[in-house]
Amino acid sequence: MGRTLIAMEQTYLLDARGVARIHELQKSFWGELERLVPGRVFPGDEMVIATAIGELVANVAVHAYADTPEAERLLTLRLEAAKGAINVEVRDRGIPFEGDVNAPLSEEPDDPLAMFESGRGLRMIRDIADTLTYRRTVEGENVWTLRKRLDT
Amino acid sequence: MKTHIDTHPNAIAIVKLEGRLDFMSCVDAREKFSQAVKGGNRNLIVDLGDVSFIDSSGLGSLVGGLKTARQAGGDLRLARPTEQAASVLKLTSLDQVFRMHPSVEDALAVFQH
Repeated sequence: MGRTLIAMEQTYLLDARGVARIHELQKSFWGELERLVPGRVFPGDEMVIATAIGELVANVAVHAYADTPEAERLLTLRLEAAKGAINVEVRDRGIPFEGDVNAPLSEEPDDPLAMFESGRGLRMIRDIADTLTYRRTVEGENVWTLRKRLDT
Repeated sequence: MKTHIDTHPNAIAIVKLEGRLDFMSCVDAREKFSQAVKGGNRNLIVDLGDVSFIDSSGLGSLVGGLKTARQAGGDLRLARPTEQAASVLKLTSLDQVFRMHPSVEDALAVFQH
């Protein structure tokens, strides 16, 4: 693939209906991509990217908007297929993320139950995505970007 | 998320979940597992066949349920994990922790043994 094939962007309210609609946007996106470049996408791609997006959305709802009334919990999702990769961007206006996106992943302990603590969502995203970045804009937005190549 | 619970002899409860098991429904799921165990059903079979999506919070509720069941002398097993469920269980190495069954009947047979 060369330049941008598809880009879809939508803003949602993070209630149950909004979360369901986020899933629907993804289905439209993959459907369109399959139409444009048949056979280029594997079912596994859609599934793991949905998993990663689900974790980003959960982090926004639970952490960024922890003290925000539900009616004000807006999230913008942008999906883009370009240059053989899928680019995902999630934006919110909640509190800044204070952790380290690129903190070295701790070694897996012998007991997976023991490690099932905070930060597991981020770890899952990093296991799925090729790159994950976070930035805080001067306008007070959190911007998460995730990139995954389709040919791997 | 919808929950349906069926109790069986030998302190077994089949907990069928339907919909998303995620950050929005994980607290409810956790409460259902606790209630089932408190009600005398320490052997839980969680039927994931109609769970459209699981995130890390959903996995956390399953882990919590497992701990509660084991503390009561029982166990929690998963039945009919979907492809997405299986993939996140594998991603987190929880596939080494949870026993999984292709059907509820299969899980029942083990508990009734």
